[in-house]
Amino acid sequence: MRFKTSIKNISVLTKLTSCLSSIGKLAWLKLDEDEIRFTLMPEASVQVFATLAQDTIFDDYRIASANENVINLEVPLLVLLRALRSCASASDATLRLTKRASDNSPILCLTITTSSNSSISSGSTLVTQEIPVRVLSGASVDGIREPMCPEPDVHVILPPLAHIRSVTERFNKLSLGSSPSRVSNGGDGSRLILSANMAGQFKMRLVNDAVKVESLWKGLNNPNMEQAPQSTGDRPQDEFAKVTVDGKEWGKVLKVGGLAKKVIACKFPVCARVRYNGC
Amino acid sequence: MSTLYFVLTASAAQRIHDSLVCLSKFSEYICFEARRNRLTLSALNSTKSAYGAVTHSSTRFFEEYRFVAGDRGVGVDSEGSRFTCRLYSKALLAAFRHRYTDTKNGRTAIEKCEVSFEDDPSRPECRLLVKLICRHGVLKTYKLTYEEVDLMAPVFDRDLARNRWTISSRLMTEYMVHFGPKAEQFDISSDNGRASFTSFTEKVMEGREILKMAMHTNIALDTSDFELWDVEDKIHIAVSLKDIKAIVTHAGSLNAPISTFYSDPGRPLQLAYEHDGVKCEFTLMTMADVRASQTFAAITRVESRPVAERVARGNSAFTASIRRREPSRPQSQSQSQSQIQQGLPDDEPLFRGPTPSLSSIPTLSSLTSSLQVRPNAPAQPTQMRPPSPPSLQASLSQIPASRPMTQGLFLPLDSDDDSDDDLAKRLDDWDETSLRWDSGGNRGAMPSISVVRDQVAPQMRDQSESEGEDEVVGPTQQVSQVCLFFSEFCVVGSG
Repeated sequence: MRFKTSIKNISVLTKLTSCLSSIGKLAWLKLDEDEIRFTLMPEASVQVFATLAQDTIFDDYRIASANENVINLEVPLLVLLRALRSCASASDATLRLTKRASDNSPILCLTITTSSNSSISSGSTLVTQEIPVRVLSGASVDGIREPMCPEPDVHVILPPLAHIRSVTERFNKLSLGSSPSRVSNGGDGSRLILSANMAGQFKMRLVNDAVKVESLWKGLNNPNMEQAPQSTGDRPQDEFAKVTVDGKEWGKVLKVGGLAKKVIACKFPVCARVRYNGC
Repeated sequence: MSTLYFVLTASAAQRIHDSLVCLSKFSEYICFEARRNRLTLSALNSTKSAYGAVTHSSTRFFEEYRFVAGDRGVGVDSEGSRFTCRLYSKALLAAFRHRYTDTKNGRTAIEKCEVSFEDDPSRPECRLLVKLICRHGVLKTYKLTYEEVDLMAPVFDRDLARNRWTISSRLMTEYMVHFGPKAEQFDISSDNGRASFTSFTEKVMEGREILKMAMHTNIALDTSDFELWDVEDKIHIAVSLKDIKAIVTHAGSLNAPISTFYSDPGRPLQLAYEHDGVKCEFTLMTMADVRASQTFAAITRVESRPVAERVARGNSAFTASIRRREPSRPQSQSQSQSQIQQGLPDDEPLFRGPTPSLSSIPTLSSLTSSLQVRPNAPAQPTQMRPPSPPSLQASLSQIPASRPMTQGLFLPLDSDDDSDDDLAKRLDDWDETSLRWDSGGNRGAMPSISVVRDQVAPQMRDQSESEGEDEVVGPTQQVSQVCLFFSEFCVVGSG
């Protein structure tokens, strides 16, 4: 099993890791010849499937394994993030899978060369970060698949995530303050109702015994997806499709705003999918 | 009755705060030692493996400084009278809180800080009075209770330190950023003309727990980054990462170059820096970097070593020492015990080679060196260890690299080998012969003691014997294995 690559786009990898670490602690990292995929399936409700072509962030990428050149790793995201932060002033960074000489435990070894950019440091400095990982067998991850989602009713490009996030946080606070008995609320977090239509509108709503608030964004784009929503013909353009989400989880998801440039939310009758096209 | 009174400017109060933050990482008590020409704040950690002292010059640091020695609780030595006491560090930190000294915050910024000690024998409580004179005529007063104590400080002879280096604290702070917060130890070494700092944790985990392990970090530096670099190659010493971080942060706040002095693993190391009337010295006990032997973490795999391998090592130290003490014990018994120790569940076959630990079978000395007790861990329970013949004690100190560091900076290396019975007697012995403390006040009484354990013990009796002595049960051992060790020791003891 061999994996070695140099990292050419450190900032994207760092941002991605930082986004993912706000959602879960451990990620399944699947590396194959063309793609790298981070999958998070924490016990909470948000699952993340992030796929990147390996050449967007890596360079000089070499991978080999007995399992058709696929390597599955379980990676602690906070540790990875901490290691990547060391790269801030790196002139060169290399990532490879190896075993620690002393105890044979598998590690992702991140080797960082910082050139003498600091005014007081004259020589080059070599930083090595050893991130403990667990190698997963192909069989153990076979069962993990991206969930099948039905065709979307509506899709819309969301307004800047920072805006939605600050509104979401207010909603969450309102919900906490206004519902003394959370049990009646059906859970410990607030329930937000998100809705959107094909006329460029997106709504966020909080309704409970004490408050009723709603934010409406207008003039958004409805992108042309490859597979046009099948129901477009049947439903009026301004009819809203609704989903209910947990306010806290929604807030966490919105943290990816640091990375994403274009965010598409798709609304389904039973579930919602948020897609990010970053980089 | 001693009186101590001093006045600090706002920036000096900030300095005091920084020092208190640093020292409070070592101990929950901070000691004051006042003399005519200086005031020292110091802290000694609970295992006596780390000591820090920050000395403030009376003329350069303080705006005003008055110290009059009294009779009570005062020792007199060559440098004149002194007054010593200790305070609870949290209470002190509350008084010198950062937001009071933060000059950017105009509203609460302090203009002056007056500190006085009320040492009035007619009143039962001893008080430290801190008056913060702030803007807009606000006066904040703290009354803290202190306890008069006799202070002890390690004496470190820098002349005996063969290795020394000096580095700018700014650069060092930059490097320390790379070290994650969870690792426990910090190793310093020199290899092929490059300096190397490594953080590591000795705890070994299995299965999913692997992912909770701390990240190990290594930094290899060009020695030209150092103002002075005079270090022997291949010497590995390890100290607590937490201590080093606290010290480097403090040195960074003073922006003073840090000088480091040490000789060998298992002997103390000193870090020192000085700036503008503030002189700091930190003496830390070091451990050998167990990773130098490249086998340290094979400990937990000892039990998975094939029986044949274990028996074949009939001349190994451990078996040898068992046989020596228990000549009638049949070899088969040790074999069967080895067999019981087999069977480590191998839940991750993907990453294990066919003979994972054979390539690095630890010798017992390296094995035990990896079982060192962390400085702040509780001492090993004595019943886990075989009672040792006292005659062995001397020989042990010759292999400091493999000794646990339970008893800290200043006690003999073999201090944890005692059974409860003769512990007290042994402690008495140490007081007479080996304890190397400078308690300042009675320096005249013990003039010969000036160096912290920088000497080699006389004669080693038998290498294998002392290695056998070193067998301890590590903190991460499985219960079944602990029982095995225990039962083995019982057999040894009854023989």
